[in-house]
Amino acid sequence: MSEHFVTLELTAPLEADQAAQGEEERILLERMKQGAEEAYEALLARFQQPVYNLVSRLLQDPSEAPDVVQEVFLKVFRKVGGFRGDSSLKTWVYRIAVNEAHNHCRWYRRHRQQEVGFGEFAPDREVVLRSGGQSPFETAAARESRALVEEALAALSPVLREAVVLRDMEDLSYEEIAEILQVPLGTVKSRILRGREALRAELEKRLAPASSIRWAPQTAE
Amino acid sequence: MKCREVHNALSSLADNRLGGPERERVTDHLGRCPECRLEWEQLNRVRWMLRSLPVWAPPASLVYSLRVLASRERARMMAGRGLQGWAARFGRRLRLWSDNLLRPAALPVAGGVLSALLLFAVLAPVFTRPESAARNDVPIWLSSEASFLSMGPYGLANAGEIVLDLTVDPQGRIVDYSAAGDENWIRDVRARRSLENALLFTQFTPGTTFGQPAAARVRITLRRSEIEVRG
Repeated sequence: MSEHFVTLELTAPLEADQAAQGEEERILLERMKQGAEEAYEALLARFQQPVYNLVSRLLQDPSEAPDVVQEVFLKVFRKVGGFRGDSSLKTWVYRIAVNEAHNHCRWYRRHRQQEVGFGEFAPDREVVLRSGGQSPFETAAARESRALVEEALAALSPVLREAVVLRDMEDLSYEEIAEILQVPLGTVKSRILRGREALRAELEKRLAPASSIRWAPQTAE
Repeated sequence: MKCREVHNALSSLADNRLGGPERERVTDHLGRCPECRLEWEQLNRVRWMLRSLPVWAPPASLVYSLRVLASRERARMMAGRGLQGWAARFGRRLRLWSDNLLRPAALPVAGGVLSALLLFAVLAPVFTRPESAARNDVPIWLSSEASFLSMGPYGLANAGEIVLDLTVDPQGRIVDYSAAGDENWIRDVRARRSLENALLFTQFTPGTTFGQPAAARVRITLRRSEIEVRG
């Protein structure tokens, strides 16, 4: 029976790795404060993709993500001088990103939700990870399954969605999520539990066969 | 362990956050309860699906914009260093502070001042007393008629009533006359001469137009008055 209970938890980074990462961040921040161009580039290279991915998942309209990401990095560049290093750089950047996404969602609800467009536009996105060696059927099935998960994720409340995204997609620890969202650890745990449960229920509902369709087998005459 | 407790613990189990004894209890329950096991499998399936979602890369335009932004912010930070940079930053903050302080008040204050001016303009004539006219004031908005002032020392030779239309110049002198009624007396040379002598020395207060003396036409009636003294 034990083979059923294999968890998907990745191994936690070793303490030595964490110390090395902390030292690397300290040097990066120091160089940024000195105005070193390569430090700015290093920060962008490290965070622009995860921040874009995170913000896209948190917004109601992912096509707004580029504007929000620019706001995020504007704040990061302007506030980096005052960053004391109480938390990790990653947590700090993610906190700014989550707050900006929150602000934008509030603004969106107030202004843009009533707007009526001419049609649906697919956002200009590029997928980084592609699965290779799949048959066309598998590719189509995977695409459909992804679309279902995306829709179910978008249907979650923003509070639950951000907890699930940070945990299951960005692979952050509970402590990091608590720091980013500025909530107690127990709240993080509860939000992740409720988010996953809501997602499971939503997917179950979407994957349930339509009750109106019934097959009626008959013998050929 | 009850199913409800296991349900609440599954998420923590998936994240490897359960302590040894509790973990044992939950896994033990999962081995015995098919419903909870199904739920556990579904939860893992959901997590797997989330992890297999594609990672979105930022569009090239955003990458370019971010690099421009980084360059601009770096230049801004470098320019803000030193005394000059500090002074510029202080000036910007001061301007922003004063803007933030004054801007909310600008519209109400402007509205208040304009309303006060409008009210003053409308109500001021109501509350002010009109200035009393001087005794020798001349009405300037009308034309006034010439009026009789004095007559010469000559009497009239003709009898009866004479009606004359006179033209009076701005100095109050008669420059022309014409008979308006019975004209029989005009053939009498003596009567006409005595009338003209009388008119020559007759004085009028000239008529005015907008406060200035002007020529005017006046109709007068002359009656002979006779006082008889008897005894």
